[in-house]
Amino acid sequence: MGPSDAELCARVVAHDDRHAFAALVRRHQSAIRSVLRRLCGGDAALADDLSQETFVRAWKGLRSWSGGARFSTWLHRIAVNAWISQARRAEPPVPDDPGHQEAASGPVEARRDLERAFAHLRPEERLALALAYAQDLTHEEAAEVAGWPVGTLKSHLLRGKEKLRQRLVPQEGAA
Amino acid sequence: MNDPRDPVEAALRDAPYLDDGGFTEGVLETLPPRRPDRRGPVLLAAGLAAAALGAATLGEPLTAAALALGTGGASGVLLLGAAVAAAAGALLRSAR
Repeated sequence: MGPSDAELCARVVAHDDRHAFAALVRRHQSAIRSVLRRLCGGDAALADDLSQETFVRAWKGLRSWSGGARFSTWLHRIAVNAWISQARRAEPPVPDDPGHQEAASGPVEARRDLERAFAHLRPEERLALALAYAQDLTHEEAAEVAGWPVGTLKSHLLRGKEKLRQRLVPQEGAA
Repeated sequence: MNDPRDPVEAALRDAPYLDDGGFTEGVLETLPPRRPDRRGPVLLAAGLAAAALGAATLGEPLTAAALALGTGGASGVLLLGAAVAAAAGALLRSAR
């Protein structure tokens, strides 16, 4: 099982312990990178850059993590802030294909299609879907990370899912 | 609200574990340099400050103690004992 997040954080803060921090990164990298891939509309390189920025920010601000929220919730909040900052700096992305996507040929391609389809959603819909389906967040935690009431999260979720359905699921009667 | 047969729902839930693939190493390389261990110098500075404060507060007894150490012998030890007693007395008086 290994030491808890809180124990590892305590070691980092008290002794500048990089092995403990590496254990934290290894434990949470997949969840953070997955969320950021969806937020970045499938741009894996950008998502990994932002993930790296997330963990470096976490390292610098670890003393400010009070332990009130779960460590993973706190990390997701840093990741979302990094994504928001990047989105403000960057040009608004131009979705490559406004229409319906061809059905994916395999699970990997399906996953990429889904990530790319996120690029066609409004930022709040993207955020709601990425957080609500994150590996280790409850809807309450997802709403907390986004800074919304749970009801707002759910309404963005519904709208976002409907848009994804229109884009990804072959419509009956479509050519 | 969540239909497990819904392909979009299923796709959203399908978030496989991403292999680290050197990611953690990359993060560690970008961390700020290790901060120097300042405990030794801080302890030394605190010790020196305490000694200076003691010397300023207990000037005369300390001078006597230094003299005792300088002269040596049994009389020196007695003098040092007297200095320590005087210092203790001064501390007690200042504490009141």
